[in-house]
Amino acid sequence: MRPIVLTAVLVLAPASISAQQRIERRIAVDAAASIRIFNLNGTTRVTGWDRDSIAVTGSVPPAAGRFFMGGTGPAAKVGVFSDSAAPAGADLDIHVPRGATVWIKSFTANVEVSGVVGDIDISSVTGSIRVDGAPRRVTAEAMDGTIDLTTRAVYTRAKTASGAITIRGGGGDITASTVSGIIRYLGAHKVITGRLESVTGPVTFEGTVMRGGTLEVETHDGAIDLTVPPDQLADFDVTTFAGSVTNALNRESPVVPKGKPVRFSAGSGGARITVRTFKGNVRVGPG
Amino acid sequence: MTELIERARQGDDTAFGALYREHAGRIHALCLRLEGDSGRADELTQDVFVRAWERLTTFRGESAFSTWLHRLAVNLVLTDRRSAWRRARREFTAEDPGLYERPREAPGPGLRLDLDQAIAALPAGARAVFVLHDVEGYQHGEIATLMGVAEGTSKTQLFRARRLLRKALDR
Amino acid sequence: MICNDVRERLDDYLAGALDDEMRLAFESHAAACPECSADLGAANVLAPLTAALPRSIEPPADLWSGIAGRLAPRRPARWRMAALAAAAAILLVVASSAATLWFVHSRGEPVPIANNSTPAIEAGYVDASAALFRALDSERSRLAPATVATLERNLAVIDAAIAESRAALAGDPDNRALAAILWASYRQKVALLEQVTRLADQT
Repeated sequence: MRPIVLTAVLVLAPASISAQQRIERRIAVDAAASIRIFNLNGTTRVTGWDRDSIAVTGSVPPAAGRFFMGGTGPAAKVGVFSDSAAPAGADLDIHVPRGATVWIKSFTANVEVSGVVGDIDISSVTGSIRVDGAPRRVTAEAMDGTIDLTTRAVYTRAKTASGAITIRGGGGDITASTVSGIIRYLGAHKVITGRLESVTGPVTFEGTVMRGGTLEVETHDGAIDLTVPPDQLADFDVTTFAGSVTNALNRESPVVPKGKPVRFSAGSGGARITVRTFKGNVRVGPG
Repeated sequence: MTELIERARQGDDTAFGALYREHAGRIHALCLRLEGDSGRADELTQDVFVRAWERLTTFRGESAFSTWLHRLAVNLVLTDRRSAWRRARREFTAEDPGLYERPREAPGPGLRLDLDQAIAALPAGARAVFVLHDVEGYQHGEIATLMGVAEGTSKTQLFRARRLLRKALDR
Repeated sequence: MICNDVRERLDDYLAGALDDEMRLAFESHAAACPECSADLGAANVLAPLTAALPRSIEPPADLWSGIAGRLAPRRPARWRMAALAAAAAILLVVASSAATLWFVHSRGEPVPIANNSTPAIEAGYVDASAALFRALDSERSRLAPATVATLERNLAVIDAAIAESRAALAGDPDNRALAAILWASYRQKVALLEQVTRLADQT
């Protein structure tokens, strides 16, 4: 026995040194583990799968830093850590249990998540963020990076400074906020509480607000374009000070004096939709 | 989340000292039983609280603080143990770690009860499984994951531990 | 029943959780098998002793001093936490009064509003931004130049918006919808500063 194991150690040792470039690691965790992923530069791809383990493949050049994966049961941490101010990029392909809560930290790395049904929380600076699938909750935050969420989430938070935000599909509780980026919400599910806000970026909303639900849209000079289904019941409350309001939804208040709030209704007892902008043009129309 | 935890999270080490006084006995008992050595248990208790301080910002109040701290302690002690095992495994090449674990001669001071002394004298693997399963109420599945062994190994170690303990108590 | 089955069910047996048929099979095997009988005996003897073990054993009194010396100060984080907490506290007050004003306005009821409420709300936002600025300034070296550039570019955008709606509000001080738009820009400013503060914390 002893000679066999010693041989194995001798064979494995040099292999693990040359494997600094290529990563292939796996650990067991709980099905609903909380997983923290750090990869500042490069790409991070996270995929949910039907196994209670985390499997990572990828390449980590020596200049990217040290690869680390650890944890057991309810919590694990995966990532590339470096003391360098500008580490090289690492590419990580990470499989996690479908029901995991995933927390991802990036700087310039592009992040893609799919197939995870737990909560997802992603923070980036210039890297883009893309999430697909049916996570329970999604929170995505970037500065310049774009955020693209195509999910069935019932809770969505997206925030950028100037990156574009696109939300497709998610309903329920939605907040998207940007300073100078654009916001596009193309919903397939009903919004219960929605808030879309920008300073200069244009905001587009195409979706349905649930009966009794609320949608608030606010910009300083970003144009606002709302498209609701012809059968949307809603009370609209629209204010623009130096922009124009176009109501293509019905014949109420088609022309509006500037600086005055405009109220019009499509049906009664429906949703409450509030639009406020300083000098953005507002259009409301049927889809 | 209690005010003490919130203050400790924000960097108040006095508040953290109060949390230490509240939980030290429980954590120390755990370390003492898992390690079977009061010197190591003291060191590990210190390590657990230092680690808890470092990780406190990740505590989100989803579980009770005592549960979170307990988990952290078990992980830390077992990780420490596993690296010790790996070192040992390089020297001893047997498949079953039990073969190179010799029961200890005499437990250190700090454990006054007969059963605790007998637990301390168990081989490391059997001791950890017994403490986690029979004393702390963990399931075999959890223990297997925490210790990085098969579930069957955890069960085998438990029966081994119980028989050794009974023999020790009958003496 | 074989030895393995007995081991699998031993804890259930002791807990009285086996049905009659299973219990009989268990007992007849255990009675005939010296190995299983030993396991059962051991578990039986140990269960009450284990349950009686103290859950807490106080460590030596001097242990804390060794811990206290190793606690890395979280001073920068404490600064950030304090700044975020201060900003949040100010905003909570501001948001509730701003929300009240907006609510009053949107219901179209002519409720008289104290003239000094607008300056008070604005002062709240200015204070919150200033607290975050101070925290960020002390950590500026931890932020990447690209982050600082994006921050400054977007702060300029927000400040221009604030100046514009502020000037409009000065000419129409009772226009609550206008005030709401001004507060929205201030909220954006605070939220952006908070975001960058969090970024500094995580890197």
